[in-house]
Amino acid sequence: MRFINVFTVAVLAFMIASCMDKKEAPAIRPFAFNDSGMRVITTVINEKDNEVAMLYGNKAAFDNRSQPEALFKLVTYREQDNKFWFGSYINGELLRVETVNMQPTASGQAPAYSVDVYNQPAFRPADAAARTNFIQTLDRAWYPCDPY
Amino acid sequence: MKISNRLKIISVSAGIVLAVTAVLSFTTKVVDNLPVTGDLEAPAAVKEIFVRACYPCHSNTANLKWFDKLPGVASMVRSDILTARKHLNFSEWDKLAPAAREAALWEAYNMINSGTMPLPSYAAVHSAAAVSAAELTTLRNYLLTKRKTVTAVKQDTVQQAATTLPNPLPTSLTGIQFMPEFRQWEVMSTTSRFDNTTMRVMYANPIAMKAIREKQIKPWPDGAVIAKVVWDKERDKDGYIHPGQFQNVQFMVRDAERYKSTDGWGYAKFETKALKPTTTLLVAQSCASCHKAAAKTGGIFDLSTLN
Repeated sequence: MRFINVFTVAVLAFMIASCMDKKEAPAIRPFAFNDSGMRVITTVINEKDNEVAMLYGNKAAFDNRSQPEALFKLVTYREQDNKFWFGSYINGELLRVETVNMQPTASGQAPAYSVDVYNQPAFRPADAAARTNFIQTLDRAWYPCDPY
Repeated sequence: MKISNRLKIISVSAGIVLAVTAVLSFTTKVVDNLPVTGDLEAPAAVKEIFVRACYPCHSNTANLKWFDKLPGVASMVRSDILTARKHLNFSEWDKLAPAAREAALWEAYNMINSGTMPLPSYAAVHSAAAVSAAELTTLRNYLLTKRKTVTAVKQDTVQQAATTLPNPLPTSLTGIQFMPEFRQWEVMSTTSRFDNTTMRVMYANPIAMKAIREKQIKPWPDGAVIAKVVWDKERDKDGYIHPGQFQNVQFMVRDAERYKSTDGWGYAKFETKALKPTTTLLVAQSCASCHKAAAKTGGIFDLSTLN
């Protein structure tokens, strides 16, 4: 009798676990940034502020960062715990997208810098020239399939 | 009279069956317990949890219950134990390199935390194997003492030379050829590991990205591919962390039929700048085993969630 009980419990537990597994839909964060065909140049982690940023660039940005056709977007996310792996942080909420457009340099002007802020009401923009310099001088990560 | 005889026969038969079963369940040897050559060294409270929840299968100290030795059950138990020991054997802890030992502990925690281990069918009949929420906290706090910090220093300016892909493109033992086109796919996520010192960027091909957007990932559609690029971290003088030395590119290819034995995913890993494919199928088995902990997202760990 105990034999039957033990295995009935096991089979029922397995069935319940299977059903729960199927019903429990993961709450995946909506994809927040459209790269519009730009590629990732590098990734920067700011541990102090719990942020991770991905620098995207167009083809011109990969070829020569200073040319007027170059366009950069630094996309910053809040880091959060990876729910499925303790020991890892993952990109969470989108915080801001900073854009550096080199077009004005064709007429001798400074690159155009702008920032779109999301989910970060207390954000205060930093000096545009300093941010442009930071973005422009981030080194490219080594990818096996580059150049562009 | 006839009924009484029948009852007698049934009773005697049942008695014989019970007696044989009882004898078998107390005398059957399910697995050999080989010598313990090395053992986990951890604080008593931590070790007690691993010993209770993991050692029955993941060590050479299997102490089986009578019902584990029943005819029909014993062969399943034997198979589970041999598979478990092959993956991780706490009694042969000395055979693992220090980094592999720590990786095993993080993995063990994540397998327990996800409910993948102890196997639900095992836990259902071995109540002592259950790990409570308080015990999970004990394990987490212990692992946090092993958290890695980045010490590698980034040089001021690094110029990356143009790369040349091997020709022909390398192919893994699982039949997956390196896919340079992943660079044109959308980014799925980026992770920063503190159980080691790597950072990663994950890409999803159009089929996989569509499945993510439409929340159709249980199961993922055939043709979905995830690429993961792994670097060591480096810290610059201002404290920012950057991708340093390139480690590898990994692919997960969804083909439910072809990769049935690894839960529908084919695994491939191309290491170093030479993109050398891993040379053993055990790696794919090991990937699949670990990815069971991400069953809630169809086997994919690195999806950002609303939490």
